[in-house]
Amino acid sequence: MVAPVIEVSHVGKRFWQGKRGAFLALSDVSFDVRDGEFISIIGASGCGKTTLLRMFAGLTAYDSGELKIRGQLVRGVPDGIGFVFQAPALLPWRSVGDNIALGLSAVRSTLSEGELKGRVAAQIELTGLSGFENSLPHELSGGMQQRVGLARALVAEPKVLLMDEPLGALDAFTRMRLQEELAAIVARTGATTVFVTHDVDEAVFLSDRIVVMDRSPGRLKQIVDVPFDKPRQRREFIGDPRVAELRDLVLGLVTADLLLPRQPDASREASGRSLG
Amino acid sequence: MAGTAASIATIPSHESADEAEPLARNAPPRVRWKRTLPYVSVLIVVGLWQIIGSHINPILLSTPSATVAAFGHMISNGQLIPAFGTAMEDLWVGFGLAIVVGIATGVLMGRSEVAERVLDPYINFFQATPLIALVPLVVIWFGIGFEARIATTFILAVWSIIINTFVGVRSTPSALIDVASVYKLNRREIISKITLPNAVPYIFAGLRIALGKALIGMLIAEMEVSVTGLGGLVVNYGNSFRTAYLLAGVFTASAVGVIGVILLNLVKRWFFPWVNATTAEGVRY
Repeated sequence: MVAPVIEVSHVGKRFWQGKRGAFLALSDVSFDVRDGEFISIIGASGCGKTTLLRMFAGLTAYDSGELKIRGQLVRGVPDGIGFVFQAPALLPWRSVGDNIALGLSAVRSTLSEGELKGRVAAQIELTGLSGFENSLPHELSGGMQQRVGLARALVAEPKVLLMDEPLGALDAFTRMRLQEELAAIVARTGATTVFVTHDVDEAVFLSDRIVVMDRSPGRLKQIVDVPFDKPRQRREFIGDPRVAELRDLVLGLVTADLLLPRQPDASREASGRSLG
Repeated sequence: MAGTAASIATIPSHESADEAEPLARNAPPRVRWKRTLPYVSVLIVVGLWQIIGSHINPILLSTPSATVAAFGHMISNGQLIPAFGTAMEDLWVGFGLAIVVGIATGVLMGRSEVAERVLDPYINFFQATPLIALVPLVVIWFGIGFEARIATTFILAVWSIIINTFVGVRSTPSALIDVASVYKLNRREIISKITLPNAVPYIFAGLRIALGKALIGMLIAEMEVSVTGLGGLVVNYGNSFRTAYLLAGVFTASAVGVIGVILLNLVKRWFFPWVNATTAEGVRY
């Protein structure tokens, strides 16, 4: 048995809010992520899912427990990670190619100019950005910008890919298309992936396992296996009754404390239509 | 997998097509006449000036035609071009120094909280002080020559640049700082690749304000310190009540300002084409 790539054990986090005291953002979260696995973290706003992801990237410190990535205790930004931000967070003054090259900053000194260009060109090809190398970010649509964000995260060939609601700001169709591409690209890189989302369909479609979180305080609620083969074809996938069942299960978990008191017909409610 | 790769390759063109819808550049005819209004307006005012000016004492208002004649005369007698040259030199040396010092100080304050807290009182003091009152002190320090004119131009212009640069550096979105952390940029790279470029729109807004102030500083210095250049021309012709010549000098000074603004915009468009597309106008002070 290979050691897990990410080990989260009893991790907690408080935010101080002045005179109002502390707010418990995360309480006693524990789980492992295996090598090559695609994990989604899902939960309502305020469940600490983004905080947890930022901890993996060393962007937010944790107060208690232990967090290891590839066997190393996380202190500061770990080596060999890629991060895709919710807003693509591109540098508006740099071309697509230069934005992607920024992802190589940490390993820049080990690469020749030619290698650097080659790596960037390969990512441009992989993420479907050919012909846009010299465009500035503002010239691209939201979906294209997020491709750049993904390419920047992948260009250093990270072992661990962290994504914070990368498709959250996109329209439904662009989003579905990018989900499929994302699945294909990530599968090709073989990176261990942690994907934060608030979209149940997205989580089910992409993940090997789904970590469902609860809020006040942010904590782990349940880990749901998604035992369907990859690559997944969306049409067949959506039509599969077992998928629908799993999706309802996750939706029920996520929305349990958000919904009005449960009606007798729980399955109907879980579809999210009878909220009003 | 091959099928997926093919679909990846075909998608960008569709997606960018949604965005590429060009804005209608040609306005419909019924609003086009409104665009001529500025020209019509200027023509009418200049016409009125000509009519009124030719019916009253020429010392009071002069006329556009007399002003143009004075302009021509000052060029042919060799007064205007050197004065224009002196004004340009005073302005751009003083303003240029203000740009260098202002941006450097603004970045320092933006990146270091210590520097910010130490320098903040002085920035506020000088920003609030009517700096023209310091001109006599400038004369005491620098005499009445080129250095004094540069110093006057500089002290009027530098504060807006410092403040706007500072605000621009401070307003770096936290997401971009996160990007810098994740990709392990060092302190120098954070400044050169993230915070300074982020401040550029703010800096340009500051430069535009500072240019106006530098122009005032330059003219005040030429009128009160050295009596040279365009300011000197205006003062001398004013003292001898030759209003047409005075106005020709004033309009030449306006031209210096207009040229400055055009140059700033050209620099912005050529070197920072993303500025207007991403950030509106920056912060004005």
